[in-house]
Amino acid sequence: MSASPEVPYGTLDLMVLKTLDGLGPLHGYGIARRIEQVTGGGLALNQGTIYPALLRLEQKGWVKSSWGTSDNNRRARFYALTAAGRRQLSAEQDLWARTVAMVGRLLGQE
Amino acid sequence: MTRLRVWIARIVGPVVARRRDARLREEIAAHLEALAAEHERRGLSPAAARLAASRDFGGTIATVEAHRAQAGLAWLDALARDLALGLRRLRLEPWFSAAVVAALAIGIGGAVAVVGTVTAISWATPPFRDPAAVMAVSTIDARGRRGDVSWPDFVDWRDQSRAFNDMAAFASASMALGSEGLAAERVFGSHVTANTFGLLGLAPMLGRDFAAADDRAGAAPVAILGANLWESRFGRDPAVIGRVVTIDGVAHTVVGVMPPEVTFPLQAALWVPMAHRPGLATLGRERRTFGVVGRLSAGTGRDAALAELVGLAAASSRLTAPAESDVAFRPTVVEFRERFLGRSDDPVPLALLGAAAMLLAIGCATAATLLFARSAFRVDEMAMRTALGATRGRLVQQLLLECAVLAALAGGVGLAGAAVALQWFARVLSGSGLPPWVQFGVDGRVTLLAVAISASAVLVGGLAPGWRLAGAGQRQAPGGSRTTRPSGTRRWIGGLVVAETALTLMLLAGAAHLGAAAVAIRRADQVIATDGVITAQLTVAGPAYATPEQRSSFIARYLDRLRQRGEIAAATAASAPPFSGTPLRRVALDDASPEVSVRVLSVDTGYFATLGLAAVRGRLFAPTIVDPDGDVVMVNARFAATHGGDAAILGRRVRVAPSPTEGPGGAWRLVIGVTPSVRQGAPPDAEPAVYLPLTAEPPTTVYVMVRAAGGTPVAQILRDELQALDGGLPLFGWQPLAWYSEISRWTHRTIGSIVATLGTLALTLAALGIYAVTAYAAARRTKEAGIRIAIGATRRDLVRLFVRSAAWPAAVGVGLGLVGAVGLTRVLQSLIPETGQAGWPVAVMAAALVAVVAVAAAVVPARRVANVDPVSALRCD
Repeated sequence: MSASPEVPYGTLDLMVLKTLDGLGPLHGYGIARRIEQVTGGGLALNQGTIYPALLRLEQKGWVKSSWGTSDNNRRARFYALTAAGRRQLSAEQDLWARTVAMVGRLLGQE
Repeated sequence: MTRLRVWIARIVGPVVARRRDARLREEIAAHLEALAAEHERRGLSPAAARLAASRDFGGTIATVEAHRAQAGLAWLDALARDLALGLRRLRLEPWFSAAVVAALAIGIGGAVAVVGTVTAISWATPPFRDPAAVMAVSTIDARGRRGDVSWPDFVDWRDQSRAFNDMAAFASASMALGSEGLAAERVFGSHVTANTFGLLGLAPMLGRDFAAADDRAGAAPVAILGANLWESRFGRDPAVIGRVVTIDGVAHTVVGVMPPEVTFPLQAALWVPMAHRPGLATLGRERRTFGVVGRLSAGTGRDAALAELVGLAAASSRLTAPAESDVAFRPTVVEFRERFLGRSDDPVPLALLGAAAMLLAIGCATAATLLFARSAFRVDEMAMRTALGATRGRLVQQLLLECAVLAALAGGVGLAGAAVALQWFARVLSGSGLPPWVQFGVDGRVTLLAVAISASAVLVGGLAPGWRLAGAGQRQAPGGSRTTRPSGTRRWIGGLVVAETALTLMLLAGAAHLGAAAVAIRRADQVIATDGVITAQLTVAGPAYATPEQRSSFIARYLDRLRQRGEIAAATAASAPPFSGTPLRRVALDDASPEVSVRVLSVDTGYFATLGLAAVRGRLFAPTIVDPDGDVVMVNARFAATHGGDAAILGRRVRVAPSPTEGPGGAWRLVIGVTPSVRQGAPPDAEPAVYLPLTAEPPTTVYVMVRAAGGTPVAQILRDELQALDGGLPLFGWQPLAWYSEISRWTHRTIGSIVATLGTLALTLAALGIYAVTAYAAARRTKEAGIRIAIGATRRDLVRLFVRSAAWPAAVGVGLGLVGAVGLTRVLQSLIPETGQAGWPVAVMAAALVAVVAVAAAVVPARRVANVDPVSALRCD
């Protein structure tokens, strides 16, 4: 088992939304790769966990999915951000920033 | 919104599970392949790359599981687990489950059966085009007696009305249908004006409708057949069109066949144009015997049509009858369906629905009582589940699902019971005068209703006990006392028993009140000894019986022959049987009094003796052709009461307005006797009636009534004796005399039996609830019972102790119920005046019954526990 920390609860959704916002429609593998790249392996992400997360986001109406063709010409499911997802992302980004600032202040005072 | 979306997706999830799983597997495969390719690019061997890929991915099974959980299967899984628990409990406690199921099933079945009946009747519509615009026009006289419309009034109204697009008249008749090669048979037929079917929007399935030219005096006689008659008599032969048949001896050409659903007005199978009805042109305005239907003009309402007819009727009645007198009448206009099914705002169905709702409430309360009473024994189980991590909501969900399993069973049993009841009902009512387009049975709507009621029963009956029990489980450590009642249970049980008893008492009192009317009518009908009396109709028609004298002498000879036979104790004839609608005629009493409108029938001299009736005052008709007092008449006690009493009426003279078919001139007739009041019309009350001797007015169709001596069937004797006199005359319409009483009381009988059933079921439920409360309370205190016996309490003391737990709330319930019952019967009386006196007597009797049943239901289980062996009782925990 890797020593790197688990994905904090609830942040995977945010990371997926942000990834889709930045790169446009992507398949599951692409999203997982991107998150790994960005976090530089700092997170122990089982790539499989991306799929329940994608389904959850789809149920909430924040992403939509459709079949497309991947780089290696395989059929792949592509996920894209919806308008509601974009709004949610900006709301969560704000919340995240506030939380981080708050926790940071709290820790700084100790 | 988002939350709703997730829920919908989760609920829909299982439905699309297979497709979703396939999609996921494809995505995972693609993902793994891409990942492996990446590893290969970094220099791993293909096998090692695949291994690395699946390590990075983190286990496909876990992914699929997590994915499924998100898709909603976890939710379904919990449900399935609770369902299994509920089913297991059913097996573990079969008696308890059976009791709860029985309580709910009685409530649900009763409610569904009553609602099914009421909606079958009140939602039934005749098979006409735009049936809501088809009105039935009839008349009502100053005393509220209903009649139809006279021919001249119909003609006036049809010609002058603007509110009605068109109006049609019909008159039913029993017709003798003869056709080549087959014996003549009697069928229900109707004379209809030529526009009738067109007005109703009914078209023949074969041949043509009547044309205006068919409906003129002197037109060639034509007929239309009903589908059933076409099938039974003509084997569905299409060549029947154009065939000549005889109807009452006259040749008619068949021009059309109506589809099976057409039985207008009620159960007719044969139609003939109105112009061929005998004596049509000579009928006066007092013969209100024609049914009339009209189709409202577009944009005209019922009230406007009624107002117009009232105006037209006033104009014509000024010519014939003094206003405000007993013989004055006014038109009424109702939707056609109401002519046969009663008014749509009739309070009786509402009262029945109310009774059904009460029964349902009692059933739910009883089920809840049972669940509460049982919950003392389940606290430990709940405590254990709580210790294992169940939340209160989770426990309530589980308990509700247990309840849902019971309710589903109960719903099934109740629906099956209701289906049987409705089927029985349809059989009882067939031929009772309900139109064939009223269909009883369990259809989609009734099933849906049963499901909805069962579902609400789960919430009503299961939520409170479940919530309490789950709460108790949360507060207590597992392994504690096994018989502690959840807090508040005592109050709940008490309240439920109060409600059950009070509702049962009210339902019983209401049922007794409604049923009393039916009983009173039956009792009044028993003035006639109907046992062993059989009736048949005999039409004395033909050239040999053209004059009244010929008819009456033929009838007298026939009756004499019957009386000679040893198998026959008595024989008589009358123009109408008892208990059935008898024509209203205008009657004058001496010169001074204003004319009154009363029932008039002509009876053979042996009529009263045959029916077991003696004169209340005066004497009966003498058994001679000419009475010693000349022209005589008898009246019933009700007639006498409205004219100075039994004594005063004797010796006065009565004149019955001439029957239009018998020509002008009615004789003044001496009143020689007063008979008991026999009902000659619709219930509830016997109305004033005048009896003419049969010789004075022998009808063409008489009702022959014969009392058999001993048990021998006499129908063949009647046929044989008639054959000996005249082989061409048919006897038809065979019925026991009691049938006429029953058929005219069917509404009352039906309501009476429904409310009696509901009342009995309610009482059973209340007994079940009280029994369960006492039984569980006593069982819980078995140890205490042992201690008490050990320190000297008698069994009597114990029984008293246990009975008290249910007796107090039951007593409170009886008290409240008594007040409610008095109020309820008062309300019923004001809504349905004919149900008679309301108030304390019925309520007190119902209260006594409920109290006795409550005590009995409590004593039985209490005695059982009180009889325990103290040693074994002390050992139990």
